Amino acid sequence: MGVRFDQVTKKFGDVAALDDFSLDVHDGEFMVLVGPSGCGKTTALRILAGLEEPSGGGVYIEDRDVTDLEPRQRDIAMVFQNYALYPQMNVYDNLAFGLRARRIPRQELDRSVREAADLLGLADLLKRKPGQLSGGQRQRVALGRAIVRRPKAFLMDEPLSNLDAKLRAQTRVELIRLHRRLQTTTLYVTHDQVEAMTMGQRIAVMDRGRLQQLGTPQEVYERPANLFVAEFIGSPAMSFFRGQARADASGLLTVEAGPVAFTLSAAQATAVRAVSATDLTVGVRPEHIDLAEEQGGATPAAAFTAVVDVVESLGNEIHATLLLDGRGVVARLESKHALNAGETRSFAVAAEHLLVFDPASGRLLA
Amino acid sequence: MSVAVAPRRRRSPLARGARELVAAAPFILPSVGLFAVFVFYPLVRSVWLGFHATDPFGRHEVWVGIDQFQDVLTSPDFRYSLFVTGQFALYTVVPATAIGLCLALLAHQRLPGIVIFRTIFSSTVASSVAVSSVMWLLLLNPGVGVLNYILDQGGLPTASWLTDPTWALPAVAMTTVWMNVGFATIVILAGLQNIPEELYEAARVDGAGGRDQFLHVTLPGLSPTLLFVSVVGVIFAFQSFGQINILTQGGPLDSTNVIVYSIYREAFLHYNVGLASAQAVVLFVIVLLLTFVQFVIASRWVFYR
Repeated sequence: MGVRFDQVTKKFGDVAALDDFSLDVHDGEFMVLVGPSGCGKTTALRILAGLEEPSGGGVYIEDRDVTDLEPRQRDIAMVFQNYALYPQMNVYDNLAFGLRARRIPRQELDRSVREAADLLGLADLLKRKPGQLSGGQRQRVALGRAIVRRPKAFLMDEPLSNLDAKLRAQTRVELIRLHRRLQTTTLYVTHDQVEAMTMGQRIAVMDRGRLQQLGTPQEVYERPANLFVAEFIGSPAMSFFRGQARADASGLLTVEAGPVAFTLSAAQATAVRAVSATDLTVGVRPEHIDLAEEQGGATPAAAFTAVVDVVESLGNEIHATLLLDGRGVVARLESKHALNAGETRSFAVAAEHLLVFDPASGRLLA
Repeated sequence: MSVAVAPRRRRSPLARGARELVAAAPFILPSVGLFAVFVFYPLVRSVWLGFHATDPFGRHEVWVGIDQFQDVLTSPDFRYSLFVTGQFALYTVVPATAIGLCLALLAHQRLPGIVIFRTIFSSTVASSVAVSSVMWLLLLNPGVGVLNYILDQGGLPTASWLTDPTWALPAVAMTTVWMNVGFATIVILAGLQNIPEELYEAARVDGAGGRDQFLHVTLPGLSPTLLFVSVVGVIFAFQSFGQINILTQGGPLDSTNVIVYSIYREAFLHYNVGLASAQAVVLFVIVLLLTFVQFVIASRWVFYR
């Protein structure tokens, strides 16, 4: 059930926009495809919609092979980035267009359109043309046009990217509510990791035409499968330290990366030894770097002193850029701390939050 | 944030306007000069002559008031001319726009080598009225013309295209359609390229087939373009002279005597400059009204994005 990509490949000339892409979206699931521009997410969506033909592989909707079907035969609805409303039609006719094309009887059509309009707060705008609507209202009409047909799946291509920040946050919540109510399988494409993290029941992180990781937002955030995912998800971004693994006298494994040495936990050390890696990259999220005096009793995995370069206060928290060995490392601290640019302070990283990667393959080791 | 502005001596707006005018004059004057000599002066002079009777050389003007306008508007010849011109507009604008639309739709496909076809379809825009007319004079020739040859080979009846009162106007119209199709194709092709691809994709996902996409995406998207092409086509039709002069000289039996040709006859064959000028002014008003009416009708269904 749901929607499935089976080893889909799409080539534009010599460039593979999608490379052996497989993804299983459960029935009723809200799945987010996220990645930088050019990663293949939009291509994947368009192949599912039938607007592009795959060079290889197949797509399935509710277990039916739709690879060779026309878009209108697939029973899906799509929300476009620029909304693509029919400019000469009023809101009512825009919503009704898909139903008319399917020869739905007039009474049923009218009921469906009014239902969708009520659901999205468009009831007072039915007579207006798209040119007379605000960006947020157009966006809702585009959504309405999708839900009015009760399709098997919604495909959304960066539907919020033309809205201002406040409206985007508001619409995000509305979309989550809408999905909870309709329970329709949704494939949502975005480059915005906040949208991905907040809306996706699962998210599929993509890069260079390949699926990098599939998981719940929490899994992807806490256990990124590789360096790309680790760097892409999270803002401010994770800091990376590359160094050599050394066993000390007591048998503990340490990664020495310039001025900082990270002591790995027993479990991490076991995982690293299992693949007998010595060249390692350690990743640390900004919120896991804390002032040394805040650490309490536990022994930190790493401790270092650094010059505070830039302090950005967001009110509820502070983002401090620390200079370490000539490069910037971001720490996210509670706003109660007094921190001034130019100070030298001591910082510490807790052991359980370290992520260890193989720098050659990029894979997460521990 | 407040910014302190130093009090500045204000130049009077009048002085500034004058300075701008002096700077703009060298840029504007050449075209103003051309317009004045070839458009404004003749226009004013035509109106003035419409109210005056002259000798055959346009001299000794005598004020006659609206007499000549009355003559024009009550003359059966002028009314027939107007009828012929209306027919001519109908025979040229509708087919040229329709054929231009078809060719533009064909040339809009993304196919290898399509640029060659775009060039061919729009090439008639580059041929002069005189050249095209002479070419068609040959094609339409009842004895050696290709058109009759083809009809004959197909077992169809042939005609004396330019000397038969039934066929002369359609034949001249056909020539004019051929000349105008290039222009229509270019403009409509540009209009097609302005319709966002996303709209077609949305329509496809919504379940629209080719016909629905054409009716609900292509035509509405093209409506401003089609209005423009038809307005310009009507104006062209009402101003046609070259092809009439070369192909039929208004004949046979005045069947192709469109207004501009009748003005020409009145002025340069009958030397009745005043009456010709009155006709010209009436033509000007008619074209103005027609264009206005087209815009009013169109405002109901033309959609500007």
